[in-house]
Amino acid sequence: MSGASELKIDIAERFQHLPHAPIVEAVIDVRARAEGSWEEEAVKSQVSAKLPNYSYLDSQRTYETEIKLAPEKPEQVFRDLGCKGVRFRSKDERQICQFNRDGFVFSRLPPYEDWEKLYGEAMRLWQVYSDIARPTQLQRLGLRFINRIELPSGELRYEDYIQPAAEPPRLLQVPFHGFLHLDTLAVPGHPYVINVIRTIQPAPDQPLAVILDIDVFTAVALDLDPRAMAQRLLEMRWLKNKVFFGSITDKALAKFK
Amino acid sequence: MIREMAASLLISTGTVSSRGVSDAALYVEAMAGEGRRRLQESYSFGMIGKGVFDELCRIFEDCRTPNWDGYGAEAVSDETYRWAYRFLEALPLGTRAPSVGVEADGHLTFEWYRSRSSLLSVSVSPEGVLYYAALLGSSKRSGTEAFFGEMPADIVSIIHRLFPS
Repeated sequence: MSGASELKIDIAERFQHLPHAPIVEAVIDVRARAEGSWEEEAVKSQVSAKLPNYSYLDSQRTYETEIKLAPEKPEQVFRDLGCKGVRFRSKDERQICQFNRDGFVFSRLPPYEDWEKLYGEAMRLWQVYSDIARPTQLQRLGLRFINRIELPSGELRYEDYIQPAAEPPRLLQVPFHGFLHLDTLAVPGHPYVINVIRTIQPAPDQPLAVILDIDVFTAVALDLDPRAMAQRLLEMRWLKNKVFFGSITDKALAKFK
Repeated sequence: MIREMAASLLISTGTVSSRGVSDAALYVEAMAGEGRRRLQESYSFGMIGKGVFDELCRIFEDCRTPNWDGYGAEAVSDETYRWAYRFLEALPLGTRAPSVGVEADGHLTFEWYRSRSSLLSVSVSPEGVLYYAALLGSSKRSGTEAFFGEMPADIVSIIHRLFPS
């Protein structure tokens, strides 16, 4: 079917604040190619000078392995293709930022505080990236919230926590061993796409958990205008909240309050 | 409600996520990648199953040294090959297989050919820029797109127009 009317996005809508929100990572991802030179040591030292409350974590390098099949003996060639970017971590280890040749990523790890803090810190760090990389245009902007909803011990009814839940085939009502459900949603009248992933994450030393991963993004290029970027992020946040509150059950909501 | 892909995905298609660092983010990435790879291996849906990746690899091997054509052509660089590989990965599952080629400037190309007046050619540069040009009967379309792993909507819509399902 087609022809859906434009979705009205209401960024003034208020959503419940959840003190125990199950957010394990909140991400703001900006793809924008560095126009200046991108040398690992120079980038490291510039970021270090501008962000005293962050410390260098590691460098992301690109490697390539090639296997040449020869009659006698296969030969393996390993190449280091250079630095893709550097990562820095806040002193409290709750925030990680990636300064990459092809963009900037800010991740907030638990505990998630609130939107204002996430947005404020991401924009502060984006400005640092922008000063160093001097991009001329944003190619992609993403806002992703990954929720990990732990199931109480002995309780394996994930459908009590997220809806719609995965269903076994009508003619074979057997339990799930696992599932991965990806929905890609269009947003009529707006340049956004939403990927929603629901899956089960088994972890040997943690309770079984349902992952609800909401990734709202736009790949429509945007000029470097902070107001336009802020507007997009607010709209994406509204979409993310609609997906989240529309995916969890009352039982789950009570658990997060 | 399912809206037609060509009409509804105004932006792009692809499964590239905003990049996370947590265990949950890495787990989701691995799971989604595995699911997609399995479909890519099928003949019906995937470019692996149709042999397009093999063709790309063969052309890269043949053209990775300068003057591969005997007329001074530029070598296909590792970067160009990687971007071209990602381009194939990002094509919507079930897309008609393109033919793979190479240009004298070292760009790799993908062509969807229906007839002499209905075709699309996409050229991939070492910087990950896509240059495309299409003949659609009496009209022409062309453009340039920076590629970050998601397929530009215009390219998808041209392919659908050339080969409506």
